[in-house]
Amino acid sequence: MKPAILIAWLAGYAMAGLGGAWAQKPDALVEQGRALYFGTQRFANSPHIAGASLPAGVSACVNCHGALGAGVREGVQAAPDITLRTAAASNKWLIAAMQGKTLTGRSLNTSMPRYLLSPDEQAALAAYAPLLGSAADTARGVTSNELVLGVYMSDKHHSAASNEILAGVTRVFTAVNTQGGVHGRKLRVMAVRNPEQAQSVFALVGSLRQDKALEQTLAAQRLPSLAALTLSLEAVNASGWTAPLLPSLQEQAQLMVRTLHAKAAELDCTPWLIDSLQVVNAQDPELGAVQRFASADAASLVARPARLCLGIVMGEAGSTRLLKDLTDSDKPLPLLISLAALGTVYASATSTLHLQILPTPLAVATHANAAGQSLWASLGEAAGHTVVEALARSGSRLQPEIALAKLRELSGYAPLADAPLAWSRTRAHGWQPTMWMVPTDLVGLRQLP
Amino acid sequence: MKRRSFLAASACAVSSALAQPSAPVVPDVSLLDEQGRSVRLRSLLVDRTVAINFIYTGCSSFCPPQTAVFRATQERFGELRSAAHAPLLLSLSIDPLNDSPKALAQYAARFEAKLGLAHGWMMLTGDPATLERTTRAFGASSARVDDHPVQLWVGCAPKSRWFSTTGLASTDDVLRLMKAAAA
Repeated sequence: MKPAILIAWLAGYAMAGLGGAWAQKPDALVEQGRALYFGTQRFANSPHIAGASLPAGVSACVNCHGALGAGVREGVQAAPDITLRTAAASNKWLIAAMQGKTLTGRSLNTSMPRYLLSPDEQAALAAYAPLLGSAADTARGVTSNELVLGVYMSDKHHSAASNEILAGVTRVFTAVNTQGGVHGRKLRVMAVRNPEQAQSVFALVGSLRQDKALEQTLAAQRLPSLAALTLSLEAVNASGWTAPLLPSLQEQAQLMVRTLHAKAAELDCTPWLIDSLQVVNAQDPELGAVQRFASADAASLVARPARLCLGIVMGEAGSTRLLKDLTDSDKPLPLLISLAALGTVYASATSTLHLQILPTPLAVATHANAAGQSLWASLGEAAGHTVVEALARSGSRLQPEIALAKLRELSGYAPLADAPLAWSRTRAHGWQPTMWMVPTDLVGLRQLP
Repeated sequence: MKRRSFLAASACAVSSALAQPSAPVVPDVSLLDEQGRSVRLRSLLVDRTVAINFIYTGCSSFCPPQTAVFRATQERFGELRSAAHAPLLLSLSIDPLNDSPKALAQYAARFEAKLGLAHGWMMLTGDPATLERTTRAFGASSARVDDHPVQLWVGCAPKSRWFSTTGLASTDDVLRLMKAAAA
């Protein structure tokens, strides 16, 4: 079939089958087309490629053509720029997707899947095609002169922390706005209290909330949670919609295990890990000589004749009670390691060396101390600076996927002095955990609340 | 059809860029399967016809099609029933720091892939130095993970016969090469 005839046939086929679809409001069609392109709505039929069916979850156009349609290169393969200059050229997309050909009839690379688009999907993609990558394709929460971001306010248990974070983010954004904003857009931050309010922001900043349900909501709405301040049990998905600053409890516990292992010989002690949260896998080869227990009471520890070096991954109440009982028993502990994020645990006179693991560089705590503010306020400022930097590197044609990707490239950037980020493809969290020695006089640094 | 002409016909029929390189010197290394079990790479190749691709779970563009092709190939293993050497698909991770066995298992689940020796498809990862040695043996090593060549190796060690292709090989290509390698 000659190209001209092919185009006429396809156009005729599309128009003939699209009575209902074209009758939709143009905005609704554009939204559907955008959702198909970015994968928040799956295609009705799985596309085929090289004799195989491509699962719906990996068949979104954005995977190969990018958030601006400019194409993606991987190895010797490159998906081309598919942005269009005119609405009349929308057929280019449909012919490419359905026929695997260009407008002139040339066959596309075999890496281009073949899509079996329904009439609705054809209409939607044709409506959205002229917008992709253009200045008119504005993301939610973005106008020509304003960018709206949200701080997700947590429940009453953490409401004070959320307010501190909001204040820290606001301070940073206000300072940036006095300098003209980012790419000519003033930054506005709003308190987000429910999923409905989240639908009016471009992204969340410094969010304390993190759960599977929220992650699904973020993905469905293309809503990135940038520089989140949650403490997840395990590492989050490195390519998911949440990019946290703080390392997971598992990552912090692994530092504890390595330290117990290293210090045991030096201090001539038996290394024990009390891990009631069960964040360390009992089969983890890094445990080595470190014995892991899911629970322990002071009486059983005191009964042990050996000198114990103790690592504690317990909630604040449990670990405080355990340490008090050990102190009362005069059981000597050559080494005690605790996680600052799980509450302030002081061993009093029980231990000769007390180490605490922070989920941030120590400089963050130093910054809070010097500024006379809570650690949450400094973390809010760090989140604000991190997001501003990512937005500045994202360019003026802003899409959520771009901001998320640029944020994850911020390795080496320090949102607060001496607190550089270390994101990479292998690290889903911005900061690595650090350890500090608890001063005996407890004067100086403030702890996480 | 004589063997020589059959192989030539098979080679010509493959749409991707095809080469008949010398057999790769496969290092005698231990890798981890998607269950975290240690497997000796050479022992997997001893008596099988293998197709090997190179993937990473964070790849969103060209690894999914390669994996989908392996999935479809696995479904058509019945066409290789007459081959003397059992077919095996190997997907080697090129991002060992990020691709734990668990990550590979989750990635496979997105494709509803049945993994394991019994199903004829394994996804392997390992420590970075070992995987670097392995991928280098197949010319699939690259400085950046997203610069890796889109490459397929098909071979039958008992026959000392290997093919490699660049670009996306189709399901038909993979099956045809596996037949040719084992012939």
